[in-house]
Amino acid sequence: MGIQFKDVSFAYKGLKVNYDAIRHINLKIKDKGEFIAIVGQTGSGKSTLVQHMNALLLPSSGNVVVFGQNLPPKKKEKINYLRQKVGLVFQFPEYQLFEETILKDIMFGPKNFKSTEAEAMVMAKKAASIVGIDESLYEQSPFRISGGQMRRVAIAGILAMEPEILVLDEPTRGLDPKGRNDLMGIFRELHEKENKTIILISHDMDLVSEYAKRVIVLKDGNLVFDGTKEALFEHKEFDSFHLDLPTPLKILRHLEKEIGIPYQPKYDFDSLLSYLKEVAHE
Amino acid sequence: MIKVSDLSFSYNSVDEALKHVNLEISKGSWVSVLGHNGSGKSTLSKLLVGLLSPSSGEIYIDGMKLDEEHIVEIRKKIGIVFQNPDNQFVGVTVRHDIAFGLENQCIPHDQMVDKINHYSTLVGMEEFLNKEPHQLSGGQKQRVAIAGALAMEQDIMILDEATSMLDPEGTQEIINLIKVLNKNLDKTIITITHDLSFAAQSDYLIVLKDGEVILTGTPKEVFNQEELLKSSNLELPFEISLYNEIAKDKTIDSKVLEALWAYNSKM
Amino acid sequence: MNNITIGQFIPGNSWLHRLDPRIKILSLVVLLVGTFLIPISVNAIPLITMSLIFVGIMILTASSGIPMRKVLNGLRPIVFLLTFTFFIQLFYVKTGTLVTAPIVMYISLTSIIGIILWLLFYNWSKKYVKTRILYFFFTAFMVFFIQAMLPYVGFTSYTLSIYDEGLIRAGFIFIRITNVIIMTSLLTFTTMTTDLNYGIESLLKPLKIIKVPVDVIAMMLSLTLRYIPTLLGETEKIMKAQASRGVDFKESKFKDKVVQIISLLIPVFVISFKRAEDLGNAMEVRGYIIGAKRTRIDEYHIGFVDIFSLIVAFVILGLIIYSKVMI
Repeated sequence: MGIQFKDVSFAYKGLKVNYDAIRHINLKIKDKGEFIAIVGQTGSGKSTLVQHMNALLLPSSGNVVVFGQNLPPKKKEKINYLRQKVGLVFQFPEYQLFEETILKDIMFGPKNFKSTEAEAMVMAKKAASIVGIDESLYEQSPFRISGGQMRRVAIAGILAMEPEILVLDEPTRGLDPKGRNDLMGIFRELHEKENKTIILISHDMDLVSEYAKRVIVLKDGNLVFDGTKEALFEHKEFDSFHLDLPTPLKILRHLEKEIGIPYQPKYDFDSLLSYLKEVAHE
Repeated sequence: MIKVSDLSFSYNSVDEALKHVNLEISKGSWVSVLGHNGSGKSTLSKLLVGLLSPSSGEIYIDGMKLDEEHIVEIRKKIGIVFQNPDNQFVGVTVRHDIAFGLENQCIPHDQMVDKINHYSTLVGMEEFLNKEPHQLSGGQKQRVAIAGALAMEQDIMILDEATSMLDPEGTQEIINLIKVLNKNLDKTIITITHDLSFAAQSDYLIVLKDGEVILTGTPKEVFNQEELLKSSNLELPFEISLYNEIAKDKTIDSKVLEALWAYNSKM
Repeated sequence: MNNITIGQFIPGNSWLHRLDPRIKILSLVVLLVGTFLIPISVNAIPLITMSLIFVGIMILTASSGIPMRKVLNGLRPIVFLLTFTFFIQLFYVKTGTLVTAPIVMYISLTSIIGIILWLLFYNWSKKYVKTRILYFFFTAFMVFFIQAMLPYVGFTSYTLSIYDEGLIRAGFIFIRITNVIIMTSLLTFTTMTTDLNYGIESLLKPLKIIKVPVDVIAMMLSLTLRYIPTLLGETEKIMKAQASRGVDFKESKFKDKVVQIISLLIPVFVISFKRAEDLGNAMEVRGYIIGAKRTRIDEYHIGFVDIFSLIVAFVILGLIIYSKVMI
């Protein structure tokens, strides 16, 4: 099961020329246990890639198989159900809120997939508690809460559909540090408790370094790296990917350059501190 | 340059967004106003440009009191770039947008053309004068907004979370631009942000929490107060926390500390 | 990122492109009035005048550098109207002399089946045809042809009499509508939307005397034009976001569709209201005062060619009025 990309390319139709957004992508994603970060410069095709995962976009060539469903589908095949299996949260998802009350809005997704009113309410309440939206807010208008809360309501709206794979496009963009940590904590818990596969697009290499188990790098529409973060940061062609290093590594490189401390990859605060204590004592 | 005395403001009559704020900003400095979402920092910036009227207290800009009588004059001294790149781009093209403020000031045509060429080049958008906003990235739109503010040749520029909606590339473009403006153009710059890495590069910090000023000082002084910052939902950047920890720990070579500080300022 | 350009402007350097927008709009209005003043009749002079206008427009199009195909494509939205009007005039005018013997049209089983088959064929084959408009006319013609040719298993029949006056009048109206559409298209093809905006604003200026807020209307028009591509992009994003929550226009009942449309409309409204507030603040801080005097970055000059063109337009109008009065 899961998602497979087989030599997938997609081109946007322009006025005169077609614009190749992704080219010859081959990829396999398991339906459980993965925590993948998709990174790459703006315009490298990340958004286009993830929109193939819930059949919002269909390949121009090649094919995608999502939970056994072949895409592009044969004529008359219904594919809407895939959007419940693969939940996609766009950037600034708070813009999708529209219902009269927060609870109703969260229930919108489940109801579109044939849940009854009662079932949808149960799923919505569960999702609301996962993202930390308190009962007292259920009957409030989604437009009268803070931006950070709106975002969480929007994400709850996707979680309520109980997707098997969760895909998020820069979920922490625009949030302050606390907001960012809280939100990522929610995804980490989902991943650890339910072994859910989570796929994230992010520009924040510190976030990628802290949470992702597997990193996929796109460049000009091509998949140029697919592996662990350690392998990525050590990759000899890393510079050609036009990515930032996570902060601990940046500091280590800087220290090597400035005062000759030998570079050794350390990814978090404590291990970096103890390394420095070891290597640079008075 | 800017003097704020006992400023208070509330949106409704119940919760105060700002409570008895006092502050001074000297000419030519780059000040960052830090605070969590809801701390009152955006309210402060709107008050400084006269979009809101204080419930109590006074604001003086370059010696002039900010009130209805003087608002037109004051708008010639202080400008602002907002957070949403799309919601402040008025013109049909880059050229028209930079021209907007100048047209409002009734600047003669030839002077307008000169200023547009000059300031678009300063922000690196001179090749884009005929482009329409939907053809530009967020960072590019913000650079146009800055060019428009610069063209009005005001002494003070406020950037209200101008990089919050941008990706890292766009954010870096703007940061680099601000450094250039502050050093080369001698402008007084106020950046409103919750990003301490960004704020670390400014001259002076003002920290707001729940509508009150709880901390002011140079970045070094403010970053020392790790507990106070944490209580205001602000997170010290990794490199600063590291710096503080190493400074406390005497077992590490002081050269590391110096190198770390150089890293911070290079950003 | 986006390939949308506002309006139909096609860049170029022809004299028509370089004409001042105020002159262009004014000339267009003058010529439109003139075109409609020509009476629908079968007499020589109105016919010749209308045809001369058509020839003139073709010359204009050629000199503007706009490809003829694009201009003719401008007729697409009204192809149905054109054809309908043509055939109505053709068959309902009963004056003059018969062109051919009256034709009997059969509504029979075979003719009905014939028409259905033909329409199906048309529907399927039209994507392979380049000149769609002509193909449409041909299809309309075929509908009648089939009725004339297949009398078998007849239910009823009627006769069509084509008189020469009917033919002439049909052609006249056909050319008139075509002239009007092409003239207007030429304006939008050769004028940037900002210039059109300025032209409209300038020409409406006299209305200021009766307190119409022309400046404000122009600013509103300009802002609307600026935001159309942005709004389109945002609407698309919201459609995708709601699609990811299960909204599917193809596979749902009518009751659901109502909620689904609301799920698109409300976010767009919310974004627009927030935008209006932010924009108002931004404009105010940049010194915009509604109704106050402002200078302008765009410069427009009226030259010899502009004045000459306007004079020609008025002369044409004058001649038309003269010929109407004299006859």
